[in-house]
Amino acid sequence: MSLTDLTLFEATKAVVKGEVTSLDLVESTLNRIDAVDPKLNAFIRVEADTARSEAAEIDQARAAGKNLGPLAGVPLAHKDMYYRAGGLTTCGSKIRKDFRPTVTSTALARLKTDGAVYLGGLNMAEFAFGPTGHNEHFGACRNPWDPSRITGGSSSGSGSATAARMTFGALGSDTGGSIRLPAGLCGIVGMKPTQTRVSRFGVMGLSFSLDNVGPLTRTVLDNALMLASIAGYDPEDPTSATVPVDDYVGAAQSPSCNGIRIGVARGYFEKDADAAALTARDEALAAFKSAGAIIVETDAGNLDDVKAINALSALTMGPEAATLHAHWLKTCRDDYGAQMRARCEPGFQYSGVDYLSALQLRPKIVEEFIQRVFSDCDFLLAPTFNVETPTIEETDVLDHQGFEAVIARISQCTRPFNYLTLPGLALPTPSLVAGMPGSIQLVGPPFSEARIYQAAAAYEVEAGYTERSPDL
Amino acid sequence: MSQSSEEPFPGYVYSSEAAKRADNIQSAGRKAIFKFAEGSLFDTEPALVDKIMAKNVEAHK
Repeated sequence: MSLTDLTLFEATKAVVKGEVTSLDLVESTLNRIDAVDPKLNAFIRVEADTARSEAAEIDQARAAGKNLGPLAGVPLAHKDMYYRAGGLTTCGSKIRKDFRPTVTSTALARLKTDGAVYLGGLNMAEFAFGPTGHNEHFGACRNPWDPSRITGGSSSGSGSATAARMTFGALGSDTGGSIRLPAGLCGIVGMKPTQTRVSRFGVMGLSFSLDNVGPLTRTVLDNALMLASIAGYDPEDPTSATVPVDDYVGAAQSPSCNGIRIGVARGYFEKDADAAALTARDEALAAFKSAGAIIVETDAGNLDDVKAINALSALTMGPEAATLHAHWLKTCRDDYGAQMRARCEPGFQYSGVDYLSALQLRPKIVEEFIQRVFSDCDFLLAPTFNVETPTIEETDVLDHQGFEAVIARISQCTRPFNYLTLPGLALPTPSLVAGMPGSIQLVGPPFSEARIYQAAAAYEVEAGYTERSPDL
Repeated sequence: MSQSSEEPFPGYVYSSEAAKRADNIQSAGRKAIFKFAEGSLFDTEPALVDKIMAKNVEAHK
């Protein structure tokens, strides 16, 4: 067994016990990247020297008898939009290909404080604006289960690299599904936390009302470990929540679904779904039931309501993204990829009144949704995606006619929950679907991440997906 | 100088396709606003969503 087959939790425990060094983990990971990444294009940049240097610091600290953090010695690579002072951060773009920020993101700083080692920047949709995993500047990222198929996006490299064991976990970001989709399509675990749960300081923005920072990992416990490191109020991001952070790791280590009511989200979430995706969803429901959960019906998928929520989400995202990109669209328009530019431009045209109306309505809609849905169940369960995993070729639509429909179809099941602020954990389904992973998302009320992890950990035992890995 | 809807800032012209996409999204958005607003948007503001989220921490323990 290679060291890269260890989970993040197992790897850090091995470092703490002195069974392996952090440098061992780094060298194994670098060898894995050399062997596998040419097939997948998950890395924009491998920072081997940084990783070796930070690993040596951890190994010296251990040798000196110092206390090591909960992520001690584990190499992690991240979506290439997390700033490190003085380090390259491309944001998946040509425009920022040489960008060296002067600040370090709070998320990366907290991971480092807890002992994680920085391994490099991962492929992503240009400026995090795309759900497929295509990138016109760095090339498409490929799915380790079938390199001809998409990874999902926008955190494409985070999904691909983690599933392919080139990193023990990765940060992504999620504005409409960008953590959950690549986690789902690549067969791993991905958490979009509650809006504002994680600081966004030093993280490239796309739409500040909808952006979230979160981890992609191979197991629920690994995910809890990473979120525990990065969650919590940050004075550098005054929008970050002051709500106390629960014990995510303890929850993931106490798996339980007993008596938990899982509400099935139908309607909108089943609309035009491939039969195989719903079969996979039903297998997941059976696994939850075996773990002790009670399956109930909900009207969370009311078609008209969810479509309207998506429309408000689009009204919110458009002007926010257009505002961030206005300067570059003015000064270096041709440096954008065609799809990124095409998706940004409409945002200039929405009226200010409509944009603000979408935001003013949000508290009311969120409150009504929570009261209506979570009075009947503890968590919602919906597919993460409800299509057969498309090929890279068939979704390489750039800004061609109909490209919006391709994008909307892939992100159909994830988009509504960003406007609703709710946490959602993407989890692999028990069986592969025609050789590819299926995925469901478990969605809870605001700040219910610990309870989600506890239920998901019980599901994970039943579902057994941690036993499989792509053959590369 | 006034700007047309095809010129979000001086010297920048975008495609008619972008204008069409914007019209479609804005039209759907306006229907959604009408559906949910039920009258006036007085007595609310975007930041209230934080209060709603925090309130549910206790309610769903």
